Amino acid sequence: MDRHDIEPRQGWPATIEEQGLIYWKTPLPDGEEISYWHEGAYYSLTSEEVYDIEASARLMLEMLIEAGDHIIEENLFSQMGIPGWAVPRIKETWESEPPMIYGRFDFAYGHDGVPKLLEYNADTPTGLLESAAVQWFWARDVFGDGVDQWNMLHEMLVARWRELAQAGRLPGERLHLLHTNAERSGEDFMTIGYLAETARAANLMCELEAIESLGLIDGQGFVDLGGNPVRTAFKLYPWEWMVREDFGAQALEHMGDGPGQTTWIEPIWKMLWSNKGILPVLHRLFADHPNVLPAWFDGEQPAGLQNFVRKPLLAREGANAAVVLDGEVVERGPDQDYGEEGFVVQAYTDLGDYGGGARPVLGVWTVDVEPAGLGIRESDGLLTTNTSRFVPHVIA
Amino acid sequence: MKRSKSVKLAVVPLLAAAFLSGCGGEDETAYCVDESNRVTDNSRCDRGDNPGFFWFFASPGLGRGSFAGSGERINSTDKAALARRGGFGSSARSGGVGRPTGRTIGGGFSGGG
Repeated sequence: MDRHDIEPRQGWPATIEEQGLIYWKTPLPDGEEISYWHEGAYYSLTSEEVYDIEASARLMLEMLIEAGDHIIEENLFSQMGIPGWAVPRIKETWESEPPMIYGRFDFAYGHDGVPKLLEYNADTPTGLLESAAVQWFWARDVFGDGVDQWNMLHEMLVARWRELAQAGRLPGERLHLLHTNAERSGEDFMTIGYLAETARAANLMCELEAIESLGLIDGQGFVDLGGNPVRTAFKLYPWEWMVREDFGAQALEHMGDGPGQTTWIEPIWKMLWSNKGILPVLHRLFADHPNVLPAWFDGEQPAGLQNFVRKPLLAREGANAAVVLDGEVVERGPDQDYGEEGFVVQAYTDLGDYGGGARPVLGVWTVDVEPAGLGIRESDGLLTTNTSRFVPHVIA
Repeated sequence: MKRSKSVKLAVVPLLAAAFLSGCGGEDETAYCVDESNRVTDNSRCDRGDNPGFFWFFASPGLGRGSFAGSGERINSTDKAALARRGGFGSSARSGGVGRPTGRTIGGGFSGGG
């Protein structure tokens, strides 16, 4: 994989905003803004590299299934900060497999060319629109119609909705897509907007709503602002938050595909995969696997470990993570009060400097259980955080 | 080829424009208003058997006795209005689930009983 400098397209801000990427400006604490979308560079991968990473993602999905079984068999829920009363529903849906849509692996891809799993965003991954659509349009604009890119996301999302609808697995007359209106840049709103686009292409009726306005009628279940029953809901809102909120118990009680019940997408068992506690479990089961980094629940790491990243069990975008090299903290993610449920410790791995200090993380998308495409974010530091940049790619 | 054959965006550009013009992701609060849109005590709407009162959705900050301007209103006896709302959303960090923007955020929808 190589990184190349390239001239940005004339008028690119208007172009990407039209394509929905209205959240491309990242405000910094000092009031400055930086661009999250960066088309002054791109990455190129060979077909062999793409097939190799894709194979790693497939293997990882198989390992994750074993890891999920292990968590259940060994009853590791409390160690992962998952409340006990949610466990029956997690176990039940792990077996019954209600519909799931998508997820995103984050892989380090240093200069040894071996993808190493940093984490799996299985419940509420973002960065979807820029991966599926905006970089696709960029590639066609810059390199012409014949360009190739590892990016079947749009096609596979549409196909996934269609498959679920035809199998009768999306109850109700319409698909409700829920976001939090606490997010003000438009990122969450446009993520569900884009998902609605793909669902609509599969002939589904869609309704967008803030999760804050979701209603509950005793004895009748969840309703939207118009009073219509919410039978199928995609929620861009993590289960670990939902189970701790006022409607959490009712969301579990009214879970299902019958009248008065809601089919939640992603399903609640994804709490197993999106939790950083999955990392020490993978290490426990597959310690010698090249795609798995050594990892431990905090406190169980070997004495004298010098180079590692400490991450909260539940957090996003590098928040409250710390990089320790030679026993010293060298970098911290932004403090957002994560970590009360506990931490994991993952062995440090070099993301690789691909030019000018740019360190990429490969976001490998999955639709259902199939690898579907790639979105690359790069940082100047050691952690991939909210100040990282999305950089498009092509297959050379 | 490892890429989608075509990517057509019909809804996304409209949503993007709507959000930028302030119509999407708005912070709204529910107020209980009377026939003349005067803000009154929420308890009058909470009961669900008071046909002269309505739930009114608008930006936060209106005081009791003030007049709400134009906006959507739902009769408080409607089934939709009987629902308890606001039971999700309290843990949302300022960045939602994506990149934190570092901006300060209001409390979201908070009415309906």
